[in-house]
Amino acid sequence: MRTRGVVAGVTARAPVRPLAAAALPLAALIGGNCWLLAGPSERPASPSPSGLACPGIGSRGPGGGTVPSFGPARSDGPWLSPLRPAVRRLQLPATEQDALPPDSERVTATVRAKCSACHVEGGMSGHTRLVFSPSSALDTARTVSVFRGFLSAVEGGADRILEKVTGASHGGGLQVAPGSAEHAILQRFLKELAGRGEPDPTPPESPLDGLTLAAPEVTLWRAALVLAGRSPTPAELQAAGEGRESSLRQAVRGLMSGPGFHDFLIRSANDRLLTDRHLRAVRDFRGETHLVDLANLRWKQAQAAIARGYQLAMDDPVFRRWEEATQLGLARAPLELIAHVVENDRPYTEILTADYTMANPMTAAAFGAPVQFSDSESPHEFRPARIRNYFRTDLTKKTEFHIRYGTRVAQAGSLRTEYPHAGVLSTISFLRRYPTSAVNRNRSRARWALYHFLGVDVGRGAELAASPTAPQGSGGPSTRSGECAGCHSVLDPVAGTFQYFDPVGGYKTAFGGMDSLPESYRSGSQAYRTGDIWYRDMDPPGIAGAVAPRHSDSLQWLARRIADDPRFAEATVRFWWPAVMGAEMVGPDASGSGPGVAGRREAFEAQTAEVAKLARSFRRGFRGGDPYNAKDLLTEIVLSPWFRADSAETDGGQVPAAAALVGAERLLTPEELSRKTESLTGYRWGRYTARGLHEVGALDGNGPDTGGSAELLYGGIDSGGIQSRARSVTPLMAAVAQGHAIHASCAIVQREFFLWPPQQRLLFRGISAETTPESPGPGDSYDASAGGRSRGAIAIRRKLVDLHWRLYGIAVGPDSPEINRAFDLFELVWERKRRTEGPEFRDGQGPCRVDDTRYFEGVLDGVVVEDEWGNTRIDWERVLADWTFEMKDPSYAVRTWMVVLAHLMSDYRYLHL
Amino acid sequence: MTRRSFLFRTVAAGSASRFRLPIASGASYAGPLFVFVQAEGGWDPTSFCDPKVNVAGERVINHWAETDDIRQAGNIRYAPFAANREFFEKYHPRMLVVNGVDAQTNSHDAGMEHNWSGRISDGYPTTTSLLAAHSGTGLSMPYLSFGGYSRPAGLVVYSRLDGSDLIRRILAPGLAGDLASGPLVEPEDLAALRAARAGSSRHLAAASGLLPRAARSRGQYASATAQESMADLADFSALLADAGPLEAIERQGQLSSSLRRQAQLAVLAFEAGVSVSADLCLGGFDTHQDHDAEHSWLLASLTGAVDFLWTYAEERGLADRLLVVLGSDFGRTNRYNDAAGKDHWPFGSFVVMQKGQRWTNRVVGETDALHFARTVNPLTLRTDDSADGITLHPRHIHKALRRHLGVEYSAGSQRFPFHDTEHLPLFL
Repeated sequence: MRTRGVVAGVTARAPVRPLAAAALPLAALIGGNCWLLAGPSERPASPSPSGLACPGIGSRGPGGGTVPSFGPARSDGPWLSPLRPAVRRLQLPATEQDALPPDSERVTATVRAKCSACHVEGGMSGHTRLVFSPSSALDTARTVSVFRGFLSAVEGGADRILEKVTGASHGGGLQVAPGSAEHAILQRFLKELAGRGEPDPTPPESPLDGLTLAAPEVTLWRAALVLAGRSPTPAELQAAGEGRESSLRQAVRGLMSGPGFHDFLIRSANDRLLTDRHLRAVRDFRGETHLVDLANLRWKQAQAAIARGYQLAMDDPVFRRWEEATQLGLARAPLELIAHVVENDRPYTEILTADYTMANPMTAAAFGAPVQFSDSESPHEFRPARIRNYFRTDLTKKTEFHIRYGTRVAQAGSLRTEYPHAGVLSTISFLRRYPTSAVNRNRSRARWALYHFLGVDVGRGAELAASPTAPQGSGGPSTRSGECAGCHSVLDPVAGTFQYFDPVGGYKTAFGGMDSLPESYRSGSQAYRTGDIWYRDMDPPGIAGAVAPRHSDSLQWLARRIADDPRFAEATVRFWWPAVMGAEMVGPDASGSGPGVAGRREAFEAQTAEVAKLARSFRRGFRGGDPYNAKDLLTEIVLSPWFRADSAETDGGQVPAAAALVGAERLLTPEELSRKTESLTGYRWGRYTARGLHEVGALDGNGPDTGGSAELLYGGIDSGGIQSRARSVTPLMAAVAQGHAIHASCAIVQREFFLWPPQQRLLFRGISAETTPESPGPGDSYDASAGGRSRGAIAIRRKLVDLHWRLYGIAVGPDSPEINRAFDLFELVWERKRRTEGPEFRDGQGPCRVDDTRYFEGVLDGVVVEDEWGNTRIDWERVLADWTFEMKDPSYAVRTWMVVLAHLMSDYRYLHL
Repeated sequence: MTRRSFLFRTVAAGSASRFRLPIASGASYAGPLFVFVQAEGGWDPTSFCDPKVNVAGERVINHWAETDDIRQAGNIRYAPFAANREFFEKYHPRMLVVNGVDAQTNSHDAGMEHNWSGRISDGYPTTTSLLAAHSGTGLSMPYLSFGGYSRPAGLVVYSRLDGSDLIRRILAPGLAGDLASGPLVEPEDLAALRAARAGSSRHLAAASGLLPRAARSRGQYASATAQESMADLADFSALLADAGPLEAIERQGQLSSSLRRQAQLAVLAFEAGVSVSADLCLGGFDTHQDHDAEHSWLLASLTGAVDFLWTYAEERGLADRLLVVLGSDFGRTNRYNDAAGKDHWPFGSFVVMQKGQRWTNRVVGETDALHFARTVNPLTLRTDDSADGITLHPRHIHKALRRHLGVEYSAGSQRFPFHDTEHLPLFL
């Protein structure tokens, strides 16, 4: 076991807090009895009277013994964990499985057809106390287990179910008609099951038991790369390594500032919302008349472009840059809002409830918003702003069209409009990403709003058991009957809350300014009546049975409802989990056969428990902190055993299958790799400024801004066709990593040894270009304890130790296998080069590919040029004209370091957390 | 280095290498090859391989049927729409059409999962990944994905190619900026670097007490950087360089298609012997508005790209090893909506293509005049409205494909079986 990040070479190991501590008290909510899930030896003498506190649950419970020091405070304890995981963890004894109640199969069929679309993890009723497996993974024993758990937890549970299925106080309405044979079967089944009583409880075991946590320094190293895009400073490491959990917590939280953290937030939020898909063109400005300042600004910009002699305004780089900066401002608004809320420690609910949007200087002007910016020319500075000058359209609005200038609004008219800001939901970018149509009717927007912010995955349950025989309305298949109702009863009311937004995100854009109903419906549907603002054959705007009190602010009402819903906190945990962990959470419907599937199910249950625990504290505030503080949440995800677990003490046994996804040792994303290299070396592979807007590199330059990069090849996304990251390295990706290492190492070594003064070096400080295995370099000290090695060899080994620390965050000794291997490589390459090559650095080889436009900063002035479209490049003529550097390498050491550095940068440990 | 020599050696970073290396090892995989083409968004079989004319008293199913009638190529009926005629007339001898396949969903996610894995829930692998896992052991890129639904379910790792010229640069042997002046790293040094890396990988993989995720990750990296894999990629790189410019991306308004380029890259990877299967993807079929215009362009692009795939594979001597499957999330409604679009409809079709087979030039499965699936007899595959008839589901297609392609008893098939699923003699 290596010792990562421990300067003293000692691995700090701490036991993982048993997850059972989280799962155990769930029983309290099921039956009011703490012992329900406890083992026989742990059963207390009598049930807890309250069911809310279970002191003395053997060695597993909080308050009962060996709760490690890293465990959360008891105020964050698991007492209010949701019922769902506990129910799902119930195990049927063999005898129970062998003797399932009569009708179990038929009831399971009913559940599959009528319940499992909503009553599943992530479904609209996933928060209730009756949560089944998804239809495709549903089996009889598990169904019976769920019913049994419900009956044991809820007094009069059988009657309650029988009432619900007939539609009484049931969000899903009528599913089983009273008096029907199906109802009778269900009744008989529940009666039989209730009469059998509770099964013997089986204590859950945490899949994380027996795992060892990484040392605090290792955790901080990994967290810094993820959250801040850099390695931690020595001071940060020292603080984290003080041995207290609070020290590490503080150090992790301290990473959450600066541009690296901002990039993390933007990138991670986009991984979920995918709004960067329209980064270049979120809205067609040519016909814009509602944002009157935008229309008129564009008109003036176009006039100026034509005056400069361009036939078309878009041919003018100045005009083009303004247009694209404005598009950027609109496109990034939802991501910047999330970043703003997180970075400023505002309640995370504000991402939905904010009565403002985020604007850069260009969009602020387009909104008519008086906002002060530090740099009014920067398209990347975002500030809170409200859309001021939004005018709906009626006869009072006067517009003018010019074939070369576009459209301007000569008279805005009388319909000045208060724009209904509802955080992310009302941003044009979010609405554009999930467009609607006359038939879709905002269902896509509703689906993704529910998914991202409530964790409700409506589409996941959309399995039709039969053909679409239901009658159809003019807007498409009927949604109010048959199998479709299960999803649409959830989706359609939420869709209605977006009622005022048109297909591309415009607000009340129908003429007259009263609605956004499509003209095809207004003029072509018999259902339409003058004055309608929403489809008559759709459910009224609302959510989960609640109806929005007013049409006028229905989206804001929805935002508040979601923010107030306890599931918002759980959805937030799930939203950010992949960004930190580098893996999606296990889905509820892990299916198939084999041991791996069983492990996935266990992992799902354990992750669900972890999510519930984190969400609970997120709602209340972690450790007395503010509620809904996202930095605290990110900190606690990092501190969770899911991230910190580093090794398994198997003692010859098997690592639990459910632990398959535990641990943070994972492949860096292309963006993370690019940032890491830049932070350590100052070099960013392929960096240039694209179109005056974005500084991009070869590993983080994909998407609409560049003509292609290695980002996709290295598993990145483009927010369009490729929406999920590749998490496993392939040979092609390994080739990309190798290319990155070789290209970068050449340029890095060249700059450090020949272009920079020694004191400016980042990696090779303290070693000279003359230091070789045989020739001691000036300034290198002799170490008598080094066993007769040359001073050069000692110095090289020391530098390799230093590089292992800088590049990997691991502390190794000068005689460790790692250093021996790297030193052997050094010797091998150096020997060959001094036999075959001349005295100059690149003798016999091609020049370094310097493709970072900031490479010569501080070295040569004025060598970066920008073309008319805002793309930067190095002016090589100017570089050569100013070149005064000698690149002699008579000792062959510098070129050898280049190969060794390429090796180190293509090593597994450089490419992974 | 003097200023003069630096001038001599420095080239603009963007200059492309024209260096060529002969293919070193030749193809290392010579078995069957598989391309699944995903029409993402839900295509309209009634305007393609399950043509429907309008029915008196019912709403219009297809506008093309107002002025034209169903055509037939060999035994296969098709819609006179888009570029179907050229496609069906040319390829019906190597084509099996399966109509009336019930995806049981109107959800894109569930539809994609169902149609490409055979199971309507998360967790099962695509058949392309199963084939790659079975036949592509040791290859550097056994499973190619160009987007769409590509779920390996742990059987294999997929590789993404986006078709940019960067691939060539990344994979260029020697990684040189200007090979006329010499490589960035001498071959001997590169070999030493790789040997050191391999040693490091072995050392890391042998560590005790690794968590499963870390162990898996280390193993994958060791495998991905193995010498053989990198050599394979060099072959692929050389082929790419020799192939000349990649196929252009087609555009029409807001629609675009890189399907031809995807096909080209897949064929070149096949030729290099580094890949077994590929998921190609063309998005945009979710035509809730302006269905005819958009679907026409998309279908033409789709069939044109499949034609290119076969032609290119023929040129490269691979067509006889190739099996192609076309499909989509589901179908589209048997009527137009108020926006001249068509909405989601669970019944779809598959098209399976292979040269020189007895089972081609054939249609299996049927839908009625309004595009509702009819049941078929699982033994005869004829329409059967009796109790013996079954509704076709994607799992039937995938189960039959597994048998036809010889992976019915593979480890992947054993791990992800299709229980309670009739075996249909589609490929007899």
